[in-house]
Amino acid sequence: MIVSGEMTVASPREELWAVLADPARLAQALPGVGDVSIEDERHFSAVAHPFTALGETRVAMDFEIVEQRPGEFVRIDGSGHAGENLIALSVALELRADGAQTRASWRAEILLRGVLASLLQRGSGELLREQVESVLAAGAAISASERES
Amino acid sequence: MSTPTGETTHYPEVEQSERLGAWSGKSVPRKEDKRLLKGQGAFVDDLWMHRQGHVHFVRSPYAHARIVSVDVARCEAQPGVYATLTGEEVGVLQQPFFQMAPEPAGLMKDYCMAVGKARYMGEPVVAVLAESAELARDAAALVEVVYEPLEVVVDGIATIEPQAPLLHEEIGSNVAWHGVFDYGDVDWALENADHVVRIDRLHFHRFSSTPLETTGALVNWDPGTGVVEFRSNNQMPMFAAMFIGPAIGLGIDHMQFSSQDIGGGFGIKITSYTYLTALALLSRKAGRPVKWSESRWEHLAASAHGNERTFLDVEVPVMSDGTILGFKVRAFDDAGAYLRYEPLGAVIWSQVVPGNYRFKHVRVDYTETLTNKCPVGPNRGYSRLQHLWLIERIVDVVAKELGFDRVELRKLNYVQPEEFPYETPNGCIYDSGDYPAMLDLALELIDYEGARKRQLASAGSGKRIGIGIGSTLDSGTNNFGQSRIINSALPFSGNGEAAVVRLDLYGEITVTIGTSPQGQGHETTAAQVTADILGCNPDLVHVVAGYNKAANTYVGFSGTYASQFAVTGLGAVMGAAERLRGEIVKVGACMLGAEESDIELADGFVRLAANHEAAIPFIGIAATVFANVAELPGELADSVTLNCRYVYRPPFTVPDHETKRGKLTLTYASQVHAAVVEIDEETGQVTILDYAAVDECGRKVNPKIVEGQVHGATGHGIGAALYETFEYDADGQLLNSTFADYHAVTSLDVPHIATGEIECPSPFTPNGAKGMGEGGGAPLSTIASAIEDALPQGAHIVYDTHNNSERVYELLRSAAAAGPRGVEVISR
Repeated sequence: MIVSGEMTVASPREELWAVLADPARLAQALPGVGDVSIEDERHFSAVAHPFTALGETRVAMDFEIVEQRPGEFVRIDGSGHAGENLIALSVALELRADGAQTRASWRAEILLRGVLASLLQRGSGELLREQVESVLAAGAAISASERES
Repeated sequence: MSTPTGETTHYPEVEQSERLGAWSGKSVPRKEDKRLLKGQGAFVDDLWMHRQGHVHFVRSPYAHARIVSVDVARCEAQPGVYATLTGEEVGVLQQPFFQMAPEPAGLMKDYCMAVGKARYMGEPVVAVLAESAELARDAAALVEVVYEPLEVVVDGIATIEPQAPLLHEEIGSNVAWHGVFDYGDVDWALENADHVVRIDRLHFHRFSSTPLETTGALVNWDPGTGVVEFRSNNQMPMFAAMFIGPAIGLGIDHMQFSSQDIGGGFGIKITSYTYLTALALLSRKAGRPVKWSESRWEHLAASAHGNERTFLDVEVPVMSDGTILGFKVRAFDDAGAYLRYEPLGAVIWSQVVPGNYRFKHVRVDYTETLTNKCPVGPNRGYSRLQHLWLIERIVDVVAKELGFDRVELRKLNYVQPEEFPYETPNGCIYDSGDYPAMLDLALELIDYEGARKRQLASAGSGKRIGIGIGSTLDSGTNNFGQSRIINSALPFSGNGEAAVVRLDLYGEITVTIGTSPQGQGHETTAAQVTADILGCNPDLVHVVAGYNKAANTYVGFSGTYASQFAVTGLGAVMGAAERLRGEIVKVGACMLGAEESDIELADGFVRLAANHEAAIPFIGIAATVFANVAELPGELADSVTLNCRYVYRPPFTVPDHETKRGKLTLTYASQVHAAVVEIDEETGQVTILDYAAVDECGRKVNPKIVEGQVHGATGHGIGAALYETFEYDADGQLLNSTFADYHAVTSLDVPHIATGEIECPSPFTPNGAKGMGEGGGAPLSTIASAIEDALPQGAHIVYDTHNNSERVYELLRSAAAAGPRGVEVISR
């Protein structure tokens, strides 16, 4: 399934990028995400607990930053599992300065295997949209907080 | 092509018991209902054993993948995890299951879990046993399986193409079975008919049943005795034993099966033997009882589905007066990934080759194929409902294309009441029936004339009215010899059921049967016929609930399936009760100093017919035989046990493998349904306005139970026609494996059903009854017929059994598109 979206984030592009490029900082502000571990500058893993039709579902994912242009573009591929269900996703995020704000556009492809594919066939797009928007909002919140402090 | 001999060899007519009637035929309240309505039924998930563990299966997320590695170390390290069982272990511990298919499909290596590769989404890969079901599920998430995804095939026809990925390398193709069933002379008929109607493609969709309790079992491999106890809701345990025993080296005497209240079986619980095998192996490994209850999504995705079938190149020869001579078709049946009951479906349909009609010339080129989908099982109306739907589609399409009235066309072509017993082109014998009268009654129940007026009046309103008819058969008590039509080497033929009726020390009458009831009221109906024969009240007859191999009697085909209990089960009970009656009369005559001919049984007493004061209660007979036997002459004491077993055996012979002819089943219950539907032109939404179900199943033992089963079968068929369907994507992912997307039919979806009945006793059964309950899938034919009747002129024919709003919307718009309609007529 391919989903895409756009949103305006109330944070300057450079500040937002700085947070997004640091998963460890970002993870602190994300609801339901824990156990973030950084392997190297391109690889990290995380465990999330989103609510699916199976209830709160433990999702363990490994991520790789496969392409980036600092400050403006990043593409991250991820793979993992939720129980016996397999998940693969690829998210491309592009940031454009919009005055003191940032216009973020994103496109994601998600592939599910197992019962989650059935359960989330209409919900996976929305779930992914929520996750991406949460990441961007958290990034903005962290940068604002750091700016104030 | 086979040529009928011209001889009609019916079954011998059976002398029917004159003793039935005081209780049989009456709607006696069900004995089972008290415990079920009070929540006191015993289902699998209610069972418990000391030291039991709970099982969770790790299942393949891929429809087709090589299993590269399995690592259970982290899972097994969790506190509370008792053991795991992997496919690799299964490959060592189990021999592949016995296959009914001839080679090459008979070479298939089917195990209880995926060995080496997974072939459908949801196939078990690893079993985890833990202290609780929740812990087992959580620990299962720590099992690491590395898969190498393989190319997937989900199309039941494309799978036979050379480039399609092979599911089972040992077979060498994805063809499970192929054969041509050729009766009469269809080529002659097509050459000489006044019209030939050609239909491009018809499709019978994939769906299943949704029992209240999913598949489950509590299994214990006793290390001391080597006996494996299977407490399960398998509905045909002796069939399961035939697969499990050779696979894991167990004799029948080392397998103890039991069940009590099965929350619905519908046929699909027959193939749970694969899970029972896995649970037995896990129990042996862990040294403790193991319990498993299938989750709803597991049931929908990986239990068993009904057969999906596609019909191509249908050709129907029709004479100018409307006589349909027969038909010719290529059928492709999609069995899914394994042959768990198949390819029996490749022959079962031929129990009803001409449907309710006098078709003489039929050729079916039948291919069963394998795909990366859930294996199929003998779901309700198994294999016959697909074929019967094809026939009803043929009749409706012929009527529409050639301008015949669909009611009159049916009446013209039906087997007529005076023609029974009727021999079909393949040698089956329809025992009795009156299809025209049933059709008249069904039409009366929906107010056919009024509906036609409503149809005319609805023009231009945005709502389209359609009237549909479905005529089907429920063939019951099958001859397992038909399996030899698909594989002449199979050692199966005939059928049978066993029962014991005994009189115990305190005068109790106890009945045990080999069947595994799932709601059909066996306790009640067995008590009714026993009470009739022994001259007592059914309340005095104790029918042991459920099935227990150690306590009940059984034969090889014992179980509850294929619409046969009313004949085989009750036939066995009646035979055993008659034997017990004979013994009671003998002892009573001796004690009363009378001739046996002077004795009658009534109200629980043995008495002189001429003097009711001279009477002995049953307890007196039993007490004498069991505790005061010296009172009886030695010869008499040696000849009675008051513990009488009887095996009912239908008079079957072995069908002919070459000609594919024979008597495949004993009875033919019939159904004629009629419906009025309303279609919203803007949305394609179908609403059933009126529905009538007329059933004929011979002499009814308990009319209320029959009516309940008619309602159940009708609801099930309506559900499949409008709501229930399994949809896979191109990767073999099942898109609707929960009730969020798989709309199981509920009472809210089923309209009021007007029921009607006609009674045509079977001359071939000891009680005049016929097996019933599966309903022949009549609603599938009826709804399709009604939708087609509502479509505008020029629309595509209704080509699928499943017609949700989207499909109906497309059909409505197909008229304006003026494209191919899926049918053509050649007239001479």
